[in-house]
Amino acid sequence: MMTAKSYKQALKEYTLVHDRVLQEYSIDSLLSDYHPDNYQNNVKLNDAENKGLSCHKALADILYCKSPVNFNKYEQSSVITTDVLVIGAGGAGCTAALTAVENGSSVILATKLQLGDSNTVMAEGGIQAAINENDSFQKHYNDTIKNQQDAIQKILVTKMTSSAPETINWLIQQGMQFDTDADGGLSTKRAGGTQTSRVVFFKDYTGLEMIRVLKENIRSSQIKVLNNSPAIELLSDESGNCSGAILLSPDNTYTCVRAKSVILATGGIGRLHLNDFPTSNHFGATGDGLVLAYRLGVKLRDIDSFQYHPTGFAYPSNLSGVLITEGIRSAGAQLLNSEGKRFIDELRPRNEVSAAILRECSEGRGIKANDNHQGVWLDTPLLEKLKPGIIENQFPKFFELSVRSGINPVLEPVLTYPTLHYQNGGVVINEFGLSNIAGLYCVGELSGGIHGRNRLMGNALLDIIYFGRQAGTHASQIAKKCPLKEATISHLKKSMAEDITKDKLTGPHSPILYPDYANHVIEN
Amino acid sequence: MTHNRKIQIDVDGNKILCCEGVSIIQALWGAGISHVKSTGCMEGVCGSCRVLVRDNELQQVKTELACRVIVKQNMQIYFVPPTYSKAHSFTIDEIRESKNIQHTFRRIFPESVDCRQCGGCDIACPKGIEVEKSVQLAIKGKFNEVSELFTECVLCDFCEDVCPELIAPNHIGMFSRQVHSLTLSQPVNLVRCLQTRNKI
Repeated sequence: MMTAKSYKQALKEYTLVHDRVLQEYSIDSLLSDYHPDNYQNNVKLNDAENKGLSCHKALADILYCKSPVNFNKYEQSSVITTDVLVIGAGGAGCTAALTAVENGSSVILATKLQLGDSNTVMAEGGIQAAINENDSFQKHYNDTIKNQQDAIQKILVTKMTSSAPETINWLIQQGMQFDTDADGGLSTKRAGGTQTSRVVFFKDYTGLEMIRVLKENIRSSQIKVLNNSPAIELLSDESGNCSGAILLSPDNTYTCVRAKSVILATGGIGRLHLNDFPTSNHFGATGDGLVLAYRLGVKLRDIDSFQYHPTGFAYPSNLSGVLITEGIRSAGAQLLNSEGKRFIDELRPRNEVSAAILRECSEGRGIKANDNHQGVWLDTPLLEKLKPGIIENQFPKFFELSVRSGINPVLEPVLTYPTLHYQNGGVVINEFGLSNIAGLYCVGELSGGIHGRNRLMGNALLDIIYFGRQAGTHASQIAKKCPLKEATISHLKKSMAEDITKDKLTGPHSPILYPDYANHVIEN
Repeated sequence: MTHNRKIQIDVDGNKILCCEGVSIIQALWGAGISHVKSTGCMEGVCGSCRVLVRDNELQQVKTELACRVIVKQNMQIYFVPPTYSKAHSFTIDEIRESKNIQHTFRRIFPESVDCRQCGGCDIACPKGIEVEKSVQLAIKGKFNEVSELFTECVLCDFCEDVCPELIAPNHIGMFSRQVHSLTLSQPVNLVRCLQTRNKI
């Protein structure tokens, strides 16, 4: 890697320039040469359901690990029953739980952290919905599938985009607020890679506002919330259908939850730091649901495709990887290399913008704060000059985070670098969020086939609420019609007979639950 | 690492050697300490990493979010477990169907009128929200103003924990936001879009 310019020097040389012209640049081979998905770190899975499927090596490593279940503890576990078990308490999980309980089901919502701890609460940009007069479901659909028709399951995108206004309405009925414009309508902004403005939002706190509302509503509902209770294995019946899960309770014993339907909503994999990238994800994003579902035999797709959000904080170290919303670029902020030049259309799709930043850094036009932290400038002072007050008013979270760390984005540009942000693929589902395993729903970031290999801003929050509701409704209907199934770990026993009779854990196990740098050892 | 100097901090009664210039949580991990509870978003919006903190030079103990506190020599830190209270819960349907929102408020938050104006909630809030002023405004029925003041609340529950009258200002804030949301629940572009769709 060629030498980058030092942070101090680059800051000294920075000048506020209007109308910086974007020089012509090439995008041929931009992705193939610079996007991390093309770093050749993939392997082919070897299980029957997914034979030959390309998967990131680090992910495959955890999929192949052993179950952490201790047979003796399993025999001594307490058993509780419910209609619907939801695992994961972010946007999709909370929505599924609220929907199921609204439909008359008994619901247990289990999380390894606390209610609301998720990537959702950190989301900033907003939710897409074709509500403006100059927009249409067709345009929303076209934007979503653009350049990636083969990586999309069309029925999922059709249903999600055409139901988006109703999804927004559901959130409003739950009590969620959105920014409004002078005409009394919902304000909208344009996501990178789309043809028109359709992202509705609440300042740059959309995720916080959403989770707050869902948490308050869960609090006053009949949903039984189990905090600090990670799911370490699913339960199955004789036919291999999902019939519940084993939770590791706070007192280190096992609780077996027998359920008519299990809704996995465990989020993403950011804390695996694929390709050694920093991440925007919360602490718990360790791909737990992928592992649990994989063991039961689900079909996966596109799990070699991950989104690197172009703008994470690159400095100081306590902010490394933290998200800076795309909304700032939607509003007009530009990206500058160490020569003070623009190098990409900032509202191209995220994969292109990230790859372009990586190219600048790789070719010596990056800015380096110290050995670990390098990046390019996000020209926030220019944005402030063009729209005075916009940063503090519309991006209060970004403003506060910067100022607390000694950077004033109104006066100085912010160092930014791509951050591991989203799992584009995942478990294959149908329009109700159901996987190929009966009784097992997988919704939210865990599922695949919706965003192809490059997600648009605002489609993830739409995904979690829409499919959360679908799964909650469908799981409720199943609960009314079907009896509780037998719950065993027979799906494990076939492959791991010897291992689970031992008292000690041998070899690596998964789900890992926490990143390794948290220094946690699971007692068994 | 940016900073090579090691410092000593006290966490939950244990002396720990760690790097300076990083957050409390990063410091614990860097020192090889196992820390998986009281950790969430790592950027100050989930309210999970509640701590009591005393800077060495100062007398005052502050309530903070650990992911946002940079460690300093001899800093004392205590992690505070979550509260899990079920009191003061309400549904949006109760608000929507209420014939007199003031009465509904008084029924759900009867302690609010006993506010001593001790300022404890203001001091406790790690986000600098004007909590006490919000309680006073809510009593007067100015829910929209409270809603604005509570824009940045992360439901860390510190204000609820410290209140001597057991008021739960955090939930007053959420109640007010939901009252406010009902005045915004008919945005023209969304309504027109839904009506058109239903006609088909």
